[in-house]
Amino acid sequence: MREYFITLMRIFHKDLILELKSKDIINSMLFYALIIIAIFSFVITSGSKVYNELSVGIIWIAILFSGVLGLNRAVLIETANDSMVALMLAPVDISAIFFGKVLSITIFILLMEIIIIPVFTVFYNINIFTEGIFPIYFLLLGTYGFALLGSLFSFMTIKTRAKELLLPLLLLPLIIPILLAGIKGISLYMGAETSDDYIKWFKLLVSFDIIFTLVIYMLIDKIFEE
Amino acid sequence: MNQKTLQINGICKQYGYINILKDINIKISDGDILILVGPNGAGKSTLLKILSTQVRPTKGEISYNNAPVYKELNVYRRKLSYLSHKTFLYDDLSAYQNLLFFARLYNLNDPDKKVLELLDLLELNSRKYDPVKYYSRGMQQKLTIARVMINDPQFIYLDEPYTGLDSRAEELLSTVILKKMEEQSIIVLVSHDIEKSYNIATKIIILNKGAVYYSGDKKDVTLLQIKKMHREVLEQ
Repeated sequence: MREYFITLMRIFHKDLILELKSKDIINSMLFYALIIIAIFSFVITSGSKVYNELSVGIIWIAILFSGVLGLNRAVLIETANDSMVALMLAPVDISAIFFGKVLSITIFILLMEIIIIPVFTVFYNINIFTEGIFPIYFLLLGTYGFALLGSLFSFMTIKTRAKELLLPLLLLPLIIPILLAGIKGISLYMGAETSDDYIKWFKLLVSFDIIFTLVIYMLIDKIFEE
Repeated sequence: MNQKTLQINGICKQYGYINILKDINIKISDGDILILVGPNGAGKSTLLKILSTQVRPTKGEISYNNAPVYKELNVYRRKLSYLSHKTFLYDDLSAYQNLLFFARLYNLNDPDKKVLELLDLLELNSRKYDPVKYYSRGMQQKLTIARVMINDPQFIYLDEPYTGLDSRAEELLSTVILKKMEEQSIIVLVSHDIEKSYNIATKIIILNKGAVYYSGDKKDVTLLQIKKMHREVLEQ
C-alpha cells in the first residue's frame, strides 16, 4: 500500500513540476472560467427569488466547463509523445497512475477555484461563505468527482478523432448529480432557513464520489488494457 | 551456465475479422539479438507490442524460463524496456528530470546515480538541465535510449531504433545493444535496414502476412540470402 501511494504522489509531483513550468492547464481554465463569470454577471439581475441559486449555478458551470478544457490538456501531456505507454509498462499499479492523475487535476481545478470565487463574490455581490465554511466541502467533493470521471473519459476518448466533442458529450450528462448537489447544497446552506436540507445533497456527493472511486479502482486495469 | 529462454507459443492476434498474427512460435535465449524483418503490415510491430505487454494476444502464451509472463506481469515489466518511434518523454521536463521520474517509477536504489551515469554514457551531460523540447531530434533519440536503459532491462524491444539517428547516435545505440547482449539480455529489434541489423543479429525472422516466413540463426544464413527472401515477400 505504501508503494501505491508513493507511485500516486510521483505522478502528482511530475504533473506539478510540468504545470509550474508551463502553466498551461491552470491558465486556460482560469481565463475560460473568468469569462463565464463575467458574461453572466451582466445577464443576471439581483433581487430575484432564485438569484442565489442561479449565481451558485454559474460558479459550477464555470468550474465544470473550464474543467473540461483542463482535462483535455492534462491528458494531452501524457499522449503527446506517448509517455502514457511508458507509464503503463512500468511495474506499478495502473490505478495508482490513474489516481495520481486525478489528484493532479483535482488540485489544479481547486487552485483555479481559489482565484475565481473571490472574483465571483465581487461580480455577483454574493459571499457563499456567509453562513460558514461548509461550501468548501461541496467544492472539494464536487471537484474530486468531476476530476475522477473526467480523467477516465479523457483517457478513453483521447485517441478518438472527435475527442473535443466526445468528452463533454459523455462526461457532462454523468456529472449532473455533482452539478445538482453542488448548486442545491450550497444555495440551501446559504439560505439556512431549512437548516438541514443541504445535508442530503452533501450525502449525495459523498456517495457519488465513493461509488465511482470504488468502481473505477476495480475496473481501471480492464479499462486501460489495450 | 544454464541459459533461459523466452518462449512465444502459438501467438495469434485478431482485430475484428482481420488476422494480424497467425500462430507465431519463437524461442529466444538469453544473450540473443533477434531481428524481425518483413514488409509493412506483416505484424512486426504488433508482435513487439505483444512481447512488451502493451497488447494481449488473442491466443497463445509468452513464457520466460517456463513461467507465463502474464501471471507475474509486474515482475516481467520491471525487467522490460520498449522503444518505439515516439520518445515517451515529457517535453517541458529536462533530460535529468525525465530520467529521474522514470528511475523513481522503477524504484531504483540510487536513481540519481543511475541517471547521471546514463546521461554521461549518452553524452548528454552538458545539457542535462535543458527542457527536452529544446533538444534536436538526435538528442531526443539519445535520451530515449537512456530512458530505455534506465531499469537495466533483461528484455529489450526496439521498434525501428535507428530511424532519425545521426551516425554518432547510431554508434552509441549499437554499443549499448552489444553491451546488453554481453550481459545476457534478450533483444528483439524490428528494422527495415536489413544490412545494419544483420551485423548485430544472432537470430533472424522474416514475417509475412502475420506468419513466420523464415526463422533461423544468423550463422545459417548469409546477408544475401536474407535480402533475397525479403525481396520475395515484398513481391508477393
